[in-house]
Amino acid sequence: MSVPDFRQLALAEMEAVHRLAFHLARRPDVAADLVQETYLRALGAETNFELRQQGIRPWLFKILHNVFYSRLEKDRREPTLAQDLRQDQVAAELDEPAPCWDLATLDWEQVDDRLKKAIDGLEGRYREVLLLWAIEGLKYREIADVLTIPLGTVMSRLYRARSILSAELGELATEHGISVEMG
Amino acid sequence: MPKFMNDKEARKYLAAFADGELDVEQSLAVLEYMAMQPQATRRVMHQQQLRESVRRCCAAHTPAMQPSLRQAVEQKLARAAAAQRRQVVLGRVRRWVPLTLAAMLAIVALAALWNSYQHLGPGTPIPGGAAGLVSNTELLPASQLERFAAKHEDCARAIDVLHNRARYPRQIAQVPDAIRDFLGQQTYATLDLSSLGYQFAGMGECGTPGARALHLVYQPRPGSDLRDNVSLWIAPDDGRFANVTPNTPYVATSCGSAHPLILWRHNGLIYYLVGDRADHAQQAVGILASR
Repeated sequence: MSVPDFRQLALAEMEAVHRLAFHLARRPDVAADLVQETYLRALGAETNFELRQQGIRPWLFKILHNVFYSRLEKDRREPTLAQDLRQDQVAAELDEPAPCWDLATLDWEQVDDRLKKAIDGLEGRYREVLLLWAIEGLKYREIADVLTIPLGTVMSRLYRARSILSAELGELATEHGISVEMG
Repeated sequence: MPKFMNDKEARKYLAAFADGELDVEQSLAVLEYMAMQPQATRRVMHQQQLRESVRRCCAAHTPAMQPSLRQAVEQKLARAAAAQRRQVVLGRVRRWVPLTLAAMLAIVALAALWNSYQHLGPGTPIPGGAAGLVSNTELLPASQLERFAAKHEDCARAIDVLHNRARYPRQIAQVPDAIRDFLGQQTYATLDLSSLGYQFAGMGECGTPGARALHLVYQPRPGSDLRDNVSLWIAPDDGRFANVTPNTPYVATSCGSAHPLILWRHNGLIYYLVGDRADHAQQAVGILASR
């Protein structure tokens, strides 16, 4: 693939890269930095790129993922007590069946607000899988490739992420007197 | 639930079914399970709704990408691409730098060597040559050098063509007097080159390089290993080489010439020595000029 073709393909995916970057970083300025660094790295690594059926998007996401976690590693501080607690809570919920009901019975504005908080509260590894799956519509195998993790791990993380979100929304449903069954 | 080991496993497969990730066989197994478990259908629907809700929520809370960001990325890419091209060019050039330097050094060394043998200016000593030997290829025109070479070949091959040869002595010891008589100037006490393996073959008058000149021919002595001849022209110093330092031999021919010519001024006379080999010619000059 020629350099101009490669660049054209890559630049066409900038909205998606920016979207994911924003949801990973949750700050517009950091997202902008991530996008720029991702594209610079992509240009430097263009010889490694092979155009496959799914296009260039997963490849760019993979670079973004690496850039993001490299930064995170750099800025890493000691985990806080609150973070430890949240992780413990997540672990405790894993084996519990997630609540299950018709989400259409809830008012969207309330769902949106609660869902956003729940997504923001997700641990990074769950949130990233969830975002790639829900927003970008990537298949499990593509997510595994982007994050360089086994397929089974993708399924587990996604299952956990969805369980946490369902639990959060289940509370909302219960508050509104909607019957929630555990599935 | 024939295909699933437990409820947890079943929930995973239901989620995968909701996401369209299962193959036909797995999907049929899940459908079979769903037929037996009505709650499973609700779970699949819930999963799909959840996905749509997450997508909708995230879309609603994602700020639009600033056009300036696209511009910044494009500019950075352009700059990076330009830098990459420069690096590629530099990389290519850098690979050749040692070779180029070596080649340049070799050229300089060759040029210096060549210059030392061919293009030295007046007064430049010739390395490895007879003491005081210098090179100047501009002293004589090419046509004159050719005449000297032709005369040398002709006369050495057939000694009798020397003009008025019979008038001149056959013995080398008598030659200086004959020269003095003809040219009016005293030459060296002896012009013998037998120490080099040459014997005096004869002499005669010659029109080269001017009206009054004597041409002496030396040939290999019998029993000698030498195969080349030496010619020596002696003419009055008429001032044509006023800028040539007296008693300094000048190689007037270029390096590699078939008939090297060395000339020098001494005591009112100009000597032109022509040979078939540069080293022998230089040695002969060395012997004569040192006397």
